[in-house]
Amino acid sequence: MSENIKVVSPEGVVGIASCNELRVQLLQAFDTADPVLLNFSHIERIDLSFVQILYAAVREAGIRGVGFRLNGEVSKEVGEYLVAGGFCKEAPTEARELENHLVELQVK
Amino acid sequence: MLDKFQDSFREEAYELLNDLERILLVLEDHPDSHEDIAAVFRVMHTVKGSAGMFGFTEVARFAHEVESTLDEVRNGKLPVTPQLVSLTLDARDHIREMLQEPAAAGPKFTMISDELIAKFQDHVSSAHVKPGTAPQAPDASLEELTAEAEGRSVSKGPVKLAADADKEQGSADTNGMMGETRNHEHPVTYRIAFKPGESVFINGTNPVLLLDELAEMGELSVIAYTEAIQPLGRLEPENCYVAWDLLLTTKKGRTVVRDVFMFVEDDSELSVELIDEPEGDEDDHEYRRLGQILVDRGFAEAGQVESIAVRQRRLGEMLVEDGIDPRHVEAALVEQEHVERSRKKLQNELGSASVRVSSEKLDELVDLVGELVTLQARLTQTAVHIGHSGLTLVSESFDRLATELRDNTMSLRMVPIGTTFSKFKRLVRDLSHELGKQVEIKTVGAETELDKSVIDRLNDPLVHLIRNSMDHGIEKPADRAAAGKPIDAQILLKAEHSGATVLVTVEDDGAGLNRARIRARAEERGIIAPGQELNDSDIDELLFAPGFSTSENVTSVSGRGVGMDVVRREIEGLGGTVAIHSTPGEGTCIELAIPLTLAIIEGLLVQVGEAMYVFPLSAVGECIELTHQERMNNGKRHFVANRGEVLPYVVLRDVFGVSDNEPEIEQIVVVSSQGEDIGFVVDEVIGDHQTVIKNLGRLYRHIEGISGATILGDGSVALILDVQKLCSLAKREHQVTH
Repeated sequence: MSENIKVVSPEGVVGIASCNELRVQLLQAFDTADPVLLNFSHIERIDLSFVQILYAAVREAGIRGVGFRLNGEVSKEVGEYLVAGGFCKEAPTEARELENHLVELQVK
Repeated sequence: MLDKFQDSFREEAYELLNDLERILLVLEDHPDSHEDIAAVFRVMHTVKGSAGMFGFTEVARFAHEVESTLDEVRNGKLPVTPQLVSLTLDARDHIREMLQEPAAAGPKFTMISDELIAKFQDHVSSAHVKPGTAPQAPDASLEELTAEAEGRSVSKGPVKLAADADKEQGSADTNGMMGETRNHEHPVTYRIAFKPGESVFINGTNPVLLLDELAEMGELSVIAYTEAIQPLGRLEPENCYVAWDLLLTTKKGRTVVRDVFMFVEDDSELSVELIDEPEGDEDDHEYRRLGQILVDRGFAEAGQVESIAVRQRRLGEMLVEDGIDPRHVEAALVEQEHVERSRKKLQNELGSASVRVSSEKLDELVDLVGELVTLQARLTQTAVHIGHSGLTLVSESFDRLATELRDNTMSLRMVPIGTTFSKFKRLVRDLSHELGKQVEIKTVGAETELDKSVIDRLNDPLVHLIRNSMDHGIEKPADRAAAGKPIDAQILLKAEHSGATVLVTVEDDGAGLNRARIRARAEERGIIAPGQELNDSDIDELLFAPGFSTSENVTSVSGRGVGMDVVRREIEGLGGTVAIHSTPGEGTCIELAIPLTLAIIEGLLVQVGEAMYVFPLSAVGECIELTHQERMNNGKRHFVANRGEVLPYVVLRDVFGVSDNEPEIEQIVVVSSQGEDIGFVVDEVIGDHQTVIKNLGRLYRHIEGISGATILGDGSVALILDVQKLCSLAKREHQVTH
């Protein structure tokens, strides 16, 4: 049975200016696909609004019973930001590591 | 017992007073430096407090009066002027004298104190600035800095209290409000609860950057609370839903920590609570238990924790089962771990911190190591003699250890020459005022290290040289202007390593040596014959004649003719040399070459007849052979060709009157003296030798060409050759015979 995968790939600086667009994309993806993949490969920098979207997306996927995966390389800046904010204990290099290390995130 | 504490206080007070002198000299050039004003006040305040505590009542009384004047300065009521700096320097000197001679305390010191206090009072009443002319009132940072000295807190205006402000206040009271602004001696730990306002992004603030700023202050543990993040459908990306619990271990005061949130705290919930203030002497690193942290934080009831604790399972798990938010349990665990880690780190740091040891004890240690090195040489010799492989092995291991111990011990006595240099800034300042000259002293290489005993003995020669330079070398401002030179003269005091010696130079940009005057004075005093042919270098040498002075008048600065000969004697006493380079109209440079240490040196052991001698290895360039035939061919002309150059040599057999037959092949030890090579003919070169220098007895102390003695492995004595003196004797002889 083939999976109905949706990959969401934000690019560049993903912060307060572009996060609503990401939020809407993720909501639409959860409506139509399973699993949903959030690709970190093209994200250069983030701010707190992205982190909040990430946490909310994980919870949303849990509530809906939709698979939610993180993939791609994590830029150095993104990793450091997550550690500085207390969201990760160690800076990840691969988004997959976030599934295990992002504090409170237990992705299914 | 009190004496011991008094000695300790005195040591620390001397250091403080040295700092005070240095800061005052900086302040004189930068009278608006609030930081330096605060530092001056702080030193005087500390001296006052400690002096009173250790029974130096007159020092405490006097320091209190000086502190009152400094209080006016830090409050912006009194400007920093050269007169005030001079007065405070005088006060500093007076305190030092009182500390040096506590037994002489009494009317003499009280009288000087009263005179100085009266001068301070006069200065205050006459110098009180009129409204409008006052220097700017100190800003908050100055106020904070000086508050530190007083141990009082400074209010920085209304601050929005956080939700648990009561708790914070309680903590502040516990600490007597001391920790608000001042830096702590040891790192303390704060728990910071920070919940930014929802609109914090819109104000352009990125809260995580504030955490970065905190991380720069010390060790930070960050616990993020994300529960308030709204579901994706309702989430407003421009709102902030995250809050943090932060544990910061830093030396910074609470106000400084709080200032990080200055621009967001009006819209945020913020509390900064001091939760751990270790002294570094705690018996263990253990912090409060998990249950206690949760109770203190208000996340659990004491009874709840107690009833769970008796179940003997992991408390954290049971608390979560009992309904405590796992995030709160985790945060408490982070706090426990953070504080215990910080305490351990502090204890490790304190454990490895420096220890104050009296120089006498160090000297004893060096003496003992010297004995050990001597014994080690004897053991090596015995092992070789017996030829027992086991003993040889032990002897070699012992040799390695002894060498390491020697190097480590010698390094303990090495101190930067800068400690001496800083004293001369004051000397130059005072002499400039006295002589009406504008002189600036620059120092280079203050970090250069020398044996403490060498540095102690270097002080007086350097004082002589600087005094001479200021009195004779540097011209009056008008003369400098007439000569087209900058009115501000310069003295450069420089130190640098050069092999096993340190070169210390005192260089001025004054008029240079007046050789015609030196010559005339030398003729007048009968030191040289009238019209005697002399080159510049010979004339410069005349300065080192005992009692020589070109000054017409004796001043308090110089002119008594006790300068340069004393300098040379002192430096040669240290095993060093003095050289002068001077260019008329451009200045004079006096170069002192000083051995790094006076205790143990690397030597080259040689034999002449039956006796052993040691050359300091640092002076030796090479060794070459001299056959009996060559010596015979040379006759009385003591020269050989070496590397295309003519090398003059001195036969040590002749110098020491050794009459038995010389060997067929002798050795010439080539040493360098003031840029010239001279050879010393010895019977045999034995090899390198760790030379523990022993002073010669009073009877033998003034034998020219011998600087000391050492004990060899077989217990016999070898004399240490004073190479520089032997070279100058040889040159003198050479001049006489040619």
